[in-house]
Amino acid sequence: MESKTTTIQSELEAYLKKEGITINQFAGVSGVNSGTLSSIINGNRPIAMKQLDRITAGMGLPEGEFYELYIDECVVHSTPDWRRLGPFLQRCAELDKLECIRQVVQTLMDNISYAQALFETAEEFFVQGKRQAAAMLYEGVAESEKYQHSERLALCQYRLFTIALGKDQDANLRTAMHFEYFVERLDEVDQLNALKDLANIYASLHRWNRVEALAEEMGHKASIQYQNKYHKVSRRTVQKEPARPLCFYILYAHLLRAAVCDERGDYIQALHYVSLYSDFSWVQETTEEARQIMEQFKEWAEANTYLYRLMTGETKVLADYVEFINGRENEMVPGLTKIMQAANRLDFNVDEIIERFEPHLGLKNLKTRMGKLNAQVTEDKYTVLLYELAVYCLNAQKIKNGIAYLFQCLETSVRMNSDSHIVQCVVLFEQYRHLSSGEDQERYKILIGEVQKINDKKSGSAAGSR
Amino acid sequence: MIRKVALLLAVGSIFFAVDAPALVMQSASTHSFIEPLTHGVGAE
Repeated sequence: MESKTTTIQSELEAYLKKEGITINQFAGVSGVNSGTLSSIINGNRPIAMKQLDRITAGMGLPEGEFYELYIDECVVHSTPDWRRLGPFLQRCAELDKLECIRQVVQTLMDNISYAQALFETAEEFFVQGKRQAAAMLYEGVAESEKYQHSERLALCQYRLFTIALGKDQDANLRTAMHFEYFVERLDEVDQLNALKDLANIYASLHRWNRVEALAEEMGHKASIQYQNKYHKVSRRTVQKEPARPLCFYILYAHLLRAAVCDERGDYIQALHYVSLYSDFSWVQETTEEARQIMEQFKEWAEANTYLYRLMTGETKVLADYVEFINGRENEMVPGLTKIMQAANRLDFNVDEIIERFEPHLGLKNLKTRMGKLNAQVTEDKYTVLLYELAVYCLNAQKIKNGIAYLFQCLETSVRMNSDSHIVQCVVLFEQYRHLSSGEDQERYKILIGEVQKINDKKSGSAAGSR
Repeated sequence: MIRKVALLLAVGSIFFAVDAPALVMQSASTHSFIEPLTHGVGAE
């Protein structure tokens, strides 16, 4: 049984004894002043972060070897000092020592006065892309403020929502529903982005009623802010600029509402919204970014006009539409999917089009003129395309190709944990099972095994939470 | 979900016992995700 508690000091002392070197010699190896080393060993001086890293390196140990001990000494058993803790958290994030961050947050949050410093560090981590480390700090701050209706709490929840989004649709839905409650507490500029992000996630989940409500709210709030910014006699001083020029949110709200009409099959109303987001006569912004936004919406208006007309049965626009998506890699997946949907619904031949675009297919990160396209929406769109291709090929009795597309679709659906897509794939396969090969049936069995595994896991966690 | 899949499999077997090929052609042509893929959805 250990009689003495292990500390960084005792470790250092033991090391010097074992190696038979003096403090002065170790000062030369580690680069830490001998006086400082002596104070540290005598326990008269708290260790600064840089000194700790130098001592660890001097002892030939892996980076961060003493971090757990450091927490014990500088956070748990003494009054925490932010001058040491800030750099410590930064190093923990760099070395991915998330458990250390968790311990520090747990200890610090007994004292609410650390909330602001933790929040600012979390914001730094978030910007630096250290998302898991940031999430731990946001969770700590949010926990300490859960009974307060603060803007900071809402911002923590917004960041946690952004960090938590992934491929799993079930998890994305839970995250979105949790965050929605906090949107109203954000400042009005952040609200616009939050509404846009939520609408995008609900679009990837096919929750079109929610998309409609959020788009309406975003359009409404953006219009008020636009009015305040450009038309009011006594213009308020704008303290914070939104992530995009305000005109973007107004135009995007119209585009989302057109998408909802598309889902309902109301193409006339969808075309009405197209006319709204292709009218820029009211736009006051003159920046390059605003110009790019207008160009982008003009392009989408053209594409969507083709596709809504195609969906109403106007097959004569097909050639123009194909020309439009040809060479526009970012519009190829939605464009081709719509063409496949129209072909499946209206029963016309698009073999040549598939042949032409097949080499360009594949799940890629899509972009717009303004930046990237939401990853969840992109993956969902690609899954729908695979399904439509499967339906088309199977209808045309091209069983081998059809099954191959179907399996790709099922694989993506399993990865996304999308119940609705999985069920659609199962229904389609069962219709063509009698035409599939033994090899196909074996592959199908494996994929369904994956579905079962996911469900066992879900049942397990549901039972655990009961 | 397991129940859903099991039910679908059961329905599938009955379906094929009745008149598979003809029905397949009829139903597959209407089998399509009716999801909007409006260009621009998902803009960040």
